[in-house]
Amino acid sequence: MARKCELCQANKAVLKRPKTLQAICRECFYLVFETEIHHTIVQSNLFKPGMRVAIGASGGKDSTVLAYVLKTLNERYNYGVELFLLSIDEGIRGYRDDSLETVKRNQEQYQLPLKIISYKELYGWSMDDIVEAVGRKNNCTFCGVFRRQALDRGALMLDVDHIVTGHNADDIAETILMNIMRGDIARLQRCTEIVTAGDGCCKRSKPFKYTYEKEIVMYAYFKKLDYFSTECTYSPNAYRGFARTFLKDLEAIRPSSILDIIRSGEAMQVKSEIELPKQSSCERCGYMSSNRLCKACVLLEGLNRGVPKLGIGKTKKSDWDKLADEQNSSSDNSGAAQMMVKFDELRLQAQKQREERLLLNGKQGGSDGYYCSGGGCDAPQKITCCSKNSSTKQNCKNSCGGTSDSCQSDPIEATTVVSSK
Amino acid sequence: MSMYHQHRIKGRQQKYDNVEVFHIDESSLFKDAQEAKARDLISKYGFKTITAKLEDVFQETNSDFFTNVSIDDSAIEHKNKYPTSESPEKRSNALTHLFDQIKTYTAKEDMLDSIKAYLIVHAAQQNDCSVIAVGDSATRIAVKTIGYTSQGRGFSLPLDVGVSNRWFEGINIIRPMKDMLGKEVGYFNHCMGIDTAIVPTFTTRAPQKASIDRLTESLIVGLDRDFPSTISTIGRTAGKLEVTRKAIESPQCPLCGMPSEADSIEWRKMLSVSSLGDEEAMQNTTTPLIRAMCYSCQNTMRDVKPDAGLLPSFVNERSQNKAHNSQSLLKKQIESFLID
Repeated sequence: MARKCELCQANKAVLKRPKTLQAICRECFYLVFETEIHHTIVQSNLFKPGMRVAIGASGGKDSTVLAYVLKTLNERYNYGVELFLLSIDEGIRGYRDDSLETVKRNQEQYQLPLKIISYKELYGWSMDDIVEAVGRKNNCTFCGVFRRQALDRGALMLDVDHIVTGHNADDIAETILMNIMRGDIARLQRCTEIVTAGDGCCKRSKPFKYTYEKEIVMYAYFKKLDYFSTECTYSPNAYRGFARTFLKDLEAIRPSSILDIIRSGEAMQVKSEIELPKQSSCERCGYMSSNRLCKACVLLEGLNRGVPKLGIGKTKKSDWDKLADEQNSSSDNSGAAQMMVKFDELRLQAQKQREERLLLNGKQGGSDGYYCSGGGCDAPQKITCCSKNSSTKQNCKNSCGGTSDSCQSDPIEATTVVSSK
Repeated sequence: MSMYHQHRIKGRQQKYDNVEVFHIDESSLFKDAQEAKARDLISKYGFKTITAKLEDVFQETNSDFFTNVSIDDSAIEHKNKYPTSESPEKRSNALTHLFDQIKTYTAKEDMLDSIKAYLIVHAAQQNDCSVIAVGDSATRIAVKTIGYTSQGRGFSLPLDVGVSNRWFEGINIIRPMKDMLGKEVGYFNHCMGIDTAIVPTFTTRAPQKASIDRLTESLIVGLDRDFPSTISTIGRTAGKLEVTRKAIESPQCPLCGMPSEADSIEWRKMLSVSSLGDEEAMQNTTTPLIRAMCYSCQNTMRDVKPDAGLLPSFVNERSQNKAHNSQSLLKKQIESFLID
């Protein structure tokens, strides 16, 4: 006789859940899988009504399932967020071009707006160009550094409040182990945070923080989701290999291990006397950086000068500073430094977009919440209706009646009134 | 192996007035333990030696020799399985019975560690020792750091691997060998002609995937072969972790004796939904004892067959004594002013 589902006791069990080893049916699997993600979102206060949320979409399993699940949950639990797909085209032939096709299909399937930005247009170099110039070494360093910044730039272009990425529990557990093993105290502290501050008034979060990779695959498989599953052409990434193998073995010994590691990582606190690097912004492009120049600018400079080793491995901090000084002394700023659009400009553009959108919404009756997009405001989620640096003013329906800066009401409750400048 | 070796070093420094060696006889669990040899080696150092057997945790000098602690309600019927007599054989049976009921090697090793930790601290308290020196080498600390992290023990990790641990009232647990590699200790013993006894564990000669500790050990040793700084880097990382205020103020886990976070059960339930029933029904299935345990010991107890029913009596005692440090310390300070 077929085994009954351990949860509903009604349907036939079709799978053994990797996280708990319970034999359950398909419907119950969907339910617990989605519920855990919902718990994560609610518990960490990831979303507020009216938020614009970009899903970092690669076309791979994680982000495809993320887009599907977020769309489902947004409808089921009325988060009231507006979802977008944001894709980065690294320019890797035979890999990214195919996976972007998947993202384009997802756009159709889930009816979500999609924005694609390429390395080529941002930095002047595609990954294929970079590999041709530097050979098959440190490729992932270039790609990772560039991607992080590209996502933030894309977020500003879309003018979203929040980026969600498909990092899953396995990725996070692995990162915790790696950071302990290589003594990266600063990252050890940061890597367990579910929300991290990005640049340009935009936060990032990982709704799959507690979701097992195997279950994501399972979900995609049973739901027959359309995703792209080829390894990156340039990704041998042996460095992470042993941590990944260890994690898989651990999971085989005790299925809760992945969750246990995250539990441990969250409880760890670095001694206060140990100095963590301070965050400031890059002198060249305005992106957040713990040095005078951000890593992307140093790498790019290396590429443009034909010395790709610059910024890789243990280069001296003084070399970076020298670069920064050179930049300041050459008054005309000719050359590569001009290639990247400064973040301040992007922020301005984002603000403009926001105002235009508000104008439109105002005319339509304005049910949309109003958020500050100026650089002065660092916590868009908390904002009710401030309008610093903005030509629009807002009236609050509730009690305060007039000014927007002082109003503490729920953004949804406020109506937007456009005042002429 | 390292225990007496370390006492040698300590003897040389003349830092402490009186050194006593504490030895745990594990031969009732491990038939191939070289118990006689170990005792012989220890006696050579000329320190006062205190010995305990693992099964001693099933004997309490006060009143109850056995305490039944139910893991769930179904276990209550097993309450009188063991008569409360003190015969050594029965104690040893209780011990082997407990370990037979544990399904995984990981949980067995964890249970053994908890019992040994209790015995060590208990012995120190009984003999008025204010310092406990343990022989954890750098290699061992690296394995513990990664292994404990993997078992969800991050909350108490800084205490578990720190150079000095003052969690237990009036006792400082120190790890003087924290910078010596396991291999170096081996070389030292070889060069100095120091003989050692083998202390077997559950996973001695077992395949690498037998338990989390065993797997971690092979990872660390293997990594250190290719990247020789691995062990010291892990040790340094662990050294930078802080014992949080939250941990210091937390109650004691009845099983391992370390601080126990309050929200473990809720956290687990929220992130691995394993039942469709309403929340309250689920709450009832967890006994107060499990609830009082730390996250990692809850993991261990998940691997114990529900009818085990028989945990060492100290587990129950500790669970009665809710306030571990803060409350009892405070009370002590004002004790003379209290009118009962």
